[in-house]
Amino acid sequence: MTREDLIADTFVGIVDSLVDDFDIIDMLTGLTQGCVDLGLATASGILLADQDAKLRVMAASSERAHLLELFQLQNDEGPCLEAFSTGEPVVHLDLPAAGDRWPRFAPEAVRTGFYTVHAFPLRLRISVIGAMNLFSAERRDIGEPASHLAQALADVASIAILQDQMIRQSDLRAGELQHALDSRVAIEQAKGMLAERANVDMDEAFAMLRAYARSVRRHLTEVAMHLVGGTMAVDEVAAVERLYRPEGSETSSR
Amino acid sequence: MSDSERVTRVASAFALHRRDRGTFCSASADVLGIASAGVTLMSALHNSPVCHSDERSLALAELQFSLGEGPSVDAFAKHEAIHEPDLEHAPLARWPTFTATALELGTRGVFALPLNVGQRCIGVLTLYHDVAGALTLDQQADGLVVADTVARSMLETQSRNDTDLLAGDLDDTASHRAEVHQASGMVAVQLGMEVADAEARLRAHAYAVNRSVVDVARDVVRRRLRLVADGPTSGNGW
Repeated sequence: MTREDLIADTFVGIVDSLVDDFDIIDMLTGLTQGCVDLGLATASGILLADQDAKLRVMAASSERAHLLELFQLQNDEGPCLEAFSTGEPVVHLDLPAAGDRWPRFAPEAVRTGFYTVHAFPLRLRISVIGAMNLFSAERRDIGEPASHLAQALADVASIAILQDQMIRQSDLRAGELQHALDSRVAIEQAKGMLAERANVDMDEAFAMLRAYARSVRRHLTEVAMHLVGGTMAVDEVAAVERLYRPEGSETSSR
Repeated sequence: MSDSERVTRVASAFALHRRDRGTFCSASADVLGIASAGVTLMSALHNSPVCHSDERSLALAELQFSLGEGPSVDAFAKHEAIHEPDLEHAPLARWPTFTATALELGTRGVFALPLNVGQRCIGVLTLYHDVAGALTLDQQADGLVVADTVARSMLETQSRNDTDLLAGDLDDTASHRAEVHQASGMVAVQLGMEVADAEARLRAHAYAVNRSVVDVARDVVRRRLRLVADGPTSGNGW
């Protein structure tokens, strides 16, 4: 396969993940492997911020790279963290001489067998969501075209991740909307059941439902759904209510 | 027309309607140049009319969900658009009762667009046209944008409301539907059946006596009508 084919393949691999069955870890692992296959690095690793903005190792092309990413997190220093916090690429071509900058990370990286590091932010406009490290075993500057390529791959991956988050977010909201509909209907149905069993009007039935839910410390919706689903007896709600209803609430709001 | 022009056009039409206190439905019918439109919010268990541009679209929505047949029902089940450009020449077996009633009410073409959010369908936008004929390619493309806009607007409306209750603007039970659910609960206890079955009984009764389910439900709630176990009807038997 030519290098152009390989580049195209790597991009397609990321974009492919935009269609159904998207898995962030799959996609990012493919990206780290793609960087190695493209000769951009000996090994590669990716950190991603979670919901609490805490960085986590999400993917690595090898176990060595994985451990080195973890090492950065544990020691709270290293190029990946800097690329994440500044939103700019970080390059160091001579890790054995980087002891001043990263007193813990640099010796560990050298001990692991790496000489050079390039770190690229995963970003979309102003938001930075993580960073990608490219480690090389020998002293080498990957050069500007290769840097641009690595950043472009990181950018496409960022879009895929943010897109996935947006879809999850709206799916969550759609689920909440449907649940709200189901609750609303269940409450009206439960009122009807109680009104019939206790021979009261709908306001009175609603007061009963609320009083019962409060007495057993459960949500109104939950009690209504149990009543409607037949997993709670109408008589129980109608009876317990009379014990718990506070004085004066006999005349419910009308 | 480019996609972005289309989105802009639809978005501004919706904004104008909102300003004039119109609904998703009037905006949708307007943008698409269709006589009548209705939006129904749906879950796997329930459905609730959100808005209707006229009485006809409300009646046809209630009919479809009473019978469990019709283009809106199919669009929700399949998560895909259902187009019937000419009900007069549609296969009768498809939706026998819906087709007859829709034609009676002066509807020739019907188009049901699912309101899809990712993998989920949260309802249906149904368009009822006075004349026969397929949607133009332009109308079809607009329809996708309109359905997407309606779905997003519904999510927005719900999320602006910070409780887990259904937002007022989406809550038709606040008006007439509440009584249908209350009556279903009453019938369920009266006849010792599940609430869903009780609602089906209520709707079947309304259909049999040619009244709206809302009217029948009101009579049940006011204890002017009590359904009996076997026959469809028992009036004033309280």
